Amino acid sequence: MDGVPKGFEAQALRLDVEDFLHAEADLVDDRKFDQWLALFSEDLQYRMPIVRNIAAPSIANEYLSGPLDVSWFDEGKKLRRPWHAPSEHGQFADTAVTHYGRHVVRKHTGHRRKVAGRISQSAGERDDGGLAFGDAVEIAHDAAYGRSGSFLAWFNAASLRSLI
Amino acid sequence: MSNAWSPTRLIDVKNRTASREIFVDRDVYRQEQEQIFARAWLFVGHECQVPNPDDFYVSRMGEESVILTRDRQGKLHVFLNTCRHRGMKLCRHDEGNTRVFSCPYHAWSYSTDGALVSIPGELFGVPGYKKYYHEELDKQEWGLVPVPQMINYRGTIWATWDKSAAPFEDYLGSFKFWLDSALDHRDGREGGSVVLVGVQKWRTNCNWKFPATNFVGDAAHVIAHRSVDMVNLNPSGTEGRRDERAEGHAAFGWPDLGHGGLGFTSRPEEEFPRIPSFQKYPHVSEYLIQSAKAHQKRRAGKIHQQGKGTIFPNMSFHEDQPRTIIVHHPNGPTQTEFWRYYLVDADAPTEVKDTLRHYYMTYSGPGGMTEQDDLENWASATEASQGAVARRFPYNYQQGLRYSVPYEGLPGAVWCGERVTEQNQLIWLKRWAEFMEARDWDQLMRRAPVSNDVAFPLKIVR
Repeated sequence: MDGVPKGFEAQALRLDVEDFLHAEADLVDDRKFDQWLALFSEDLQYRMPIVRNIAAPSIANEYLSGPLDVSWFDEGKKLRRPWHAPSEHGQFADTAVTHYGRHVVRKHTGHRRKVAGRISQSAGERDDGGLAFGDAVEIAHDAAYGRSGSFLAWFNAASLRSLI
Repeated sequence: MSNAWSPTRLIDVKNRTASREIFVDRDVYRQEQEQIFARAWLFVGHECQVPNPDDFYVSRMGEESVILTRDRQGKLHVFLNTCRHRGMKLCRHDEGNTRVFSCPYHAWSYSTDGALVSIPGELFGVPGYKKYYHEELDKQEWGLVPVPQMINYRGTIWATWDKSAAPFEDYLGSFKFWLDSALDHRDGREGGSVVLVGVQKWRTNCNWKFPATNFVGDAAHVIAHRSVDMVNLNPSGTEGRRDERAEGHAAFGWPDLGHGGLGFTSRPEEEFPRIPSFQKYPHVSEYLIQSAKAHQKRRAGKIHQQGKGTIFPNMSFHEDQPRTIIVHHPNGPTQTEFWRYYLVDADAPTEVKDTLRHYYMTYSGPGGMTEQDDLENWASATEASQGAVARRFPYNYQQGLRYSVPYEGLPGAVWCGERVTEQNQLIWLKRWAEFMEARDWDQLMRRAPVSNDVAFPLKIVR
């Protein structure tokens, strides 16, 4: 593939990406939601397609990523911003509400550290061939970073295959 | 759990309590498969999922896998998804198109094609039929197991394993008006909706009765969605997670049938207020306003019925925000497999469908804001109800009981004028006990008396 870093350059990029992911995770874990949100590109599309178990001849349509197909989530930065407004307004003062604040963010980050595990627990796991939800969220993150140096959480079957 | 348990003891209608055993116990769960899921009408899918001949969609009826398929004459069938030979799960794909279902184990093959077989689902080919079976295998006898009753109701496909089950529309009673309000076109045409491509399927470690009794009209759990309300998911950009509703939105339950939900008081079409919605999205807002006008015109002089809720046992729907169907498939006493579908008008403009699609996904499903609150509650309640000590203490359903009266606008329904009441949950649980007692369909449909029947506690008028 043209333009894709190779060898040492690729390893260096990989380390950069890992550092970035951990830094991003820290922002969420420390509930620095404004800084975390600032990492997102304006044209963000944050989408995780549903995977179907279908016959081999149709395997190209395994991932439902058509414009009107239902996904696990499919959002842009504009949709995400209002969800974090309460933190900007300092409404998460008491303990109970702080919990809710984490909860809100947890719902939409699918974070690879604490967060993915909890979503996985909450959403349950498919053991009959479907992706476990938490795993898929992690893959989505990996795929997003693989496609671009900046945070662009769009992924599709092609980018997924290039990474795993 | 003792052997002497009885459903009417587990559900104490008089004292308005329910034993925790029904939410965690394995024996109760096994009885449910027999008495409820092998008898009640269950939601299978939507006709738009199998538009062409030989299309199939694999669904569930309770724990069991079923195949919904359209034959070459256009007729729909529902079969148990298991090979008659060694029980192999015959079709292992979620959907597709095939003329013949061939078993991956020993290649017993079945078809619905009249050119290949005389009965839909009949055994069409068996390897070694001549040489090893000596043509002595009765192919008709060993065909796929069809459901004895199914119906296409305004595009939705329903089936029951009980050939003596009451007809679907009798089973629904006047609750059908609310199902219609979800399935009918926004402009008032009958049916006219489809489900978007893509069914969200996930498992949560909770008993299946939690979602069923939550969606039957539990308006008191709003506290669980506090975070969603705080972040204003409202599609008009104002407070809360939904648009403002017309007045007269209350809990209605059907004590003889087990259905219930939250909906609007009945009133002439002309008097039902059309409150602007989706104002952040003018193309959707305009579409809904124009559709509502057409609806009002088309149904002038008729009664407006609208609501959302649970159809006993495990199908719940919402008629507008978000317009959706969810099925709570039992998957063991402490696990549910949820299947969520999203409804849109079949001929709505693409950009309208797209905006609705975004709102639906943001609201519902395991990645949705609201659904995750519920899933955590149900899983945690299931977990905290399993202990030997915890099981000693029943759940309480006493809120608002004995304040309900019959509601004339919806035959068979009762209400107490409030949204917040546990009448519907108790109604659902009462129906659960009636099925679990193995009452026959004459008794279930109130055509034959039952000696130990406990009437639903209505308001005592002095």
